[in-house]
Amino acid sequence: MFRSIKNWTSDFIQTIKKEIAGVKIQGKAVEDFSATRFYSLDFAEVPVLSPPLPEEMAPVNDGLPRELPLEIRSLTEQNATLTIESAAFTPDPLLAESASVQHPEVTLAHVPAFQPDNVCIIPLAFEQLRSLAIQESTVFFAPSFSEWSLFFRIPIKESSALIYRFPIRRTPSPKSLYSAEDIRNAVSYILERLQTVPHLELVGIYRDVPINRIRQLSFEKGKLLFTLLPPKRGRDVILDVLIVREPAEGKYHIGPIVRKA
Amino acid sequence: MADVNAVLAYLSVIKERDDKYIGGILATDGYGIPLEFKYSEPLKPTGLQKILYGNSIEKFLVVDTIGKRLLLNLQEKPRIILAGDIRLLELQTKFSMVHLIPKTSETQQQQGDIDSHAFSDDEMGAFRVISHSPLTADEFQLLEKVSREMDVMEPFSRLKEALQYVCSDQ
Repeated sequence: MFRSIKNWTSDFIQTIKKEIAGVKIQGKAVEDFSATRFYSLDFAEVPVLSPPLPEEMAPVNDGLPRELPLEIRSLTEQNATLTIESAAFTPDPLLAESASVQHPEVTLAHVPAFQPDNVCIIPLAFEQLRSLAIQESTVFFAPSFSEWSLFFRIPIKESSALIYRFPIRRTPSPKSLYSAEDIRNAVSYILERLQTVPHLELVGIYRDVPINRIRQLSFEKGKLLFTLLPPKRGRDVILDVLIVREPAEGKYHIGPIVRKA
Repeated sequence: MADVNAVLAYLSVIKERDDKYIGGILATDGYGIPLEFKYSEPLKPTGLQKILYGNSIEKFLVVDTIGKRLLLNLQEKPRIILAGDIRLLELQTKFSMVHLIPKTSETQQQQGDIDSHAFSDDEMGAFRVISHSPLTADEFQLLEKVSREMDVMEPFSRLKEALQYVCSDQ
């Protein structure tokens, strides 16, 4: 019995050895992690169906398959090695002709090749920018309107002294308005104040002369011109006057005429 | 003699060569002696104001602006105001206002320019008396009396000289 057990055991071992000897391990052993290979599926031939709506779904026992068959037709081996290459960007002429970025007229052909030599360094004019900013704020945020006065402001001034500068003019009155006695009295008044009896010429008779306020007296083409002093207290003494001239000395003499009403 | 208490006022607005407008009012007694003198500062309208007012700017300045302001500032109470410009007769005032035109050959030609419907036209000696409303008998008599005593237009020459002086001074 023990011999039969021994035979069975050895037979079993021999059988195991034979089986182990027939096993072949294909591929390399995993020794390096970087050598791990990845496999991608090619789904080109896989039909993709959109799922039907619930109400369109067929009954369970309609005999149609519920699962899509997935067949793996081929496997493509890809290397996962990461390489970084640097190259100057130049537009691909074919790509430039066909590709467009949003606007149909703008293509990559319009994008110039980047070259360091094309870089222009423009110094920033900070003062100009600052002034531009001030101008913008003036125009858009604080518009200033020119104040054009549509109406006129007229300041009114008063000056009596100014009007006194300009002489009052009196035209001579005709002698016919006066009596001979009035004229004689006026001439007598003048002669009484002269030492001699000179030759006198009649200049004229002038009406309404304020004799107590005359500052300056002159003649112009037979007219009597006189400027006035500022008004005094009391009323002005206004009289008609007879004026004669002494040709030898060029003096003028004034005699009052008291007009009878 | 003229009425000493009678007060006349001479109102005039002139335009100087450089487009300056200036006006003045001179109140006098019956002898032409000054009682009050007021004047406006010279005013030169801007180019924009000339455009905006157009042809009416002169009348607006003479009548509505300068003439009106001068009358408002006058303290004396004249019995008659003599206007140097017929346009000043359009001023609304409680005083009687007249414009005197000497009867000369030149002024006779201006007769056609005066609207007989708008103004009263009387004669007084050597003058035509133009006013908006006819003078009362007393006013007319006073004016006649003053014009006999003195050259009733003479204060206008003083007024003009004074205004020209102010204009040249500024």
